[in-house]
Amino acid sequence: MIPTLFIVTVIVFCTARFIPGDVVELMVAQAGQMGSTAEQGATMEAMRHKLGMDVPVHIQYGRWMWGMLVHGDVGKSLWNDRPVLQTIMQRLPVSFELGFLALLVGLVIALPIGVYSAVRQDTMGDYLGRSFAIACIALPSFWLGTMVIVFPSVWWNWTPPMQFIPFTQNPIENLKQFILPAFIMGMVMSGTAMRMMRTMMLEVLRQDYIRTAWAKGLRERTVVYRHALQNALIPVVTVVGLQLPVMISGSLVMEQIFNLPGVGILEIQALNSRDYPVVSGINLLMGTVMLLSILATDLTYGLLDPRIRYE
Amino acid sequence: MSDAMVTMPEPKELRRHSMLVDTLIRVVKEKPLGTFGGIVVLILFVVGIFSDFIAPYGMNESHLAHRLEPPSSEFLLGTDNLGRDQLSRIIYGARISMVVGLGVSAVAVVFSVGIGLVSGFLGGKVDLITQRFVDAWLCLPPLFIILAVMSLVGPGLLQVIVVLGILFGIGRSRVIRSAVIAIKQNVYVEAARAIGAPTAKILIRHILPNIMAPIIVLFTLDMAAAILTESTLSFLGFGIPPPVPSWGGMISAEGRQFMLLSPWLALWPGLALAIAVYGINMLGDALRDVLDPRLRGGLGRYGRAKGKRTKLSGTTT
Repeated sequence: MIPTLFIVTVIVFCTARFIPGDVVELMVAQAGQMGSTAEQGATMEAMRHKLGMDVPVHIQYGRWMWGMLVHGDVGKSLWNDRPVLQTIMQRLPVSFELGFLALLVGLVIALPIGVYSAVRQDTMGDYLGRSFAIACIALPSFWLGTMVIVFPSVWWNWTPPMQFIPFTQNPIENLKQFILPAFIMGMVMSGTAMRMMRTMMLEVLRQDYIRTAWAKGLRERTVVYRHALQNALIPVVTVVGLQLPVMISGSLVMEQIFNLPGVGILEIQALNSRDYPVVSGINLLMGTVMLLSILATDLTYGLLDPRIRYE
Repeated sequence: MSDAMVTMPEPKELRRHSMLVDTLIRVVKEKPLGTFGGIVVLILFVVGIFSDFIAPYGMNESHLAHRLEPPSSEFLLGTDNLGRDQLSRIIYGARISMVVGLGVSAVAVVFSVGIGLVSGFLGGKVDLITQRFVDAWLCLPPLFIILAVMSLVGPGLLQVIVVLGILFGIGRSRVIRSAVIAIKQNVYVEAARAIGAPTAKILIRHILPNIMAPIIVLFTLDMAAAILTESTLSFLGFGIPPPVPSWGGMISAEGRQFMLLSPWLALWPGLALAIAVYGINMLGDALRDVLDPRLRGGLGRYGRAKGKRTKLSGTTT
């Protein structure tokens, strides 16, 4: 895991740092500084030095890593001098709330339909469920988001609230604001989870111990929920865990559409203003979250399935 | 237009037609939804290739007298803020999506097969080091890293194809690698090595033909993912820049700006996108079921295992 994380830092650092368009030029242009080219050149030189951008890239990388490992400092924004970590931490709760709600919605949709589809295989309900799952995968979330804003406002003169309200200020208004994007993200995710749930249930329902359970004369509910579902859920957990990247990417688009000040909007702003430390900070954080979630998924797997034990 | 798939001659002695044709016949016979997907893909291709003839107006031809008009007999899907015919732009958008889908998949196949073959076949240190890179790659949240790379190379059709192709390819190399490792164990590979065949020859003559199944499946599924990702990128303004009618860009630029005046501007491109992606996914699923059941990740149905065990023997010499 350590070498992987190391390579992640290299990729993250390089992609951010090699974005063309010099931030210093952008800043000088924005400041609208007058004067001869020589003067401007001097200011730019001074600014580069101040921002630590006058040394070769590998030294910049070394400084960045050193700062992180020794001081726990991810760097400062090139534009407003605020620590990157602090900026991200401010935005993170929004993205996490969105991701968590979306996951919840996704599971609430996916698990019952998946189980039903498997238990009533090849009935009308099964076909409907499966078609819905595939539709969920095919529908682009950004389009759904746009439609949800467009049509209600045209038909009923209603738009989702666009002014962000923090959860601590007014939980109900805040949830009202999050529920639409979370629902769309959850729907998109539920397709994959639903299909996995169905496949796994079908597989488990054909096992010998299920036949035994039926033979004992247990009720359908007991067979399905106590004997089958518990075993079928194990691989579904993996799939849901690995859906995290989809969630994170989805949150970026949804934040953009529904105007939620999360990490995704921050990333787009930072990319547009060439704010390298912020871009690398966000990507690194996301990479770490992913790595941890993969690890967590593996560990949960061990907990859920007694046949798997980690030494 | 399903003629191309249905009217394949099938006398018994002609059983050695290519694997691709064989597969398509099975899809049509066994998978109705897959066939539907195939038809959608075919329509996408026909519309994409012949958009110059099908589209009633040019893609950037504006009729300033008819701005933001609702659908009418003159402009079937209405017009946008510059008076451009929406139907024509969606038809040209099909071309963009087709090019993006095929291009990205092709680049992705080259990369995933290249990495997967070398890493899986050579094994040892090469494999270990390559796989750490692939690991690191898979850890990065896709859209975030794609956005960063896209702003690195700037927007544009070619850039989107190359960037997405390489990114998808690195991720998919995992699947190819495990297929290669499985094939590597076979006796005929050992035999080839025993008679002194060079590594490159073993790779091309013995390994590559046997991993065609996952390659075809990945190609199809990547196409859908590529079209969806490209439209997301264009929507966010990091993909294909405005005058070009990319479906994603249309939703963002004209659609969102003028959505209250003319909601259909955002409706049509998304609908086209959803149908295209749905069709490709259905075809991909069917191909996967037919070609490579191992990729399905579970038992499908019982009792549908029609005798088809001699698949591998047909492709090697």
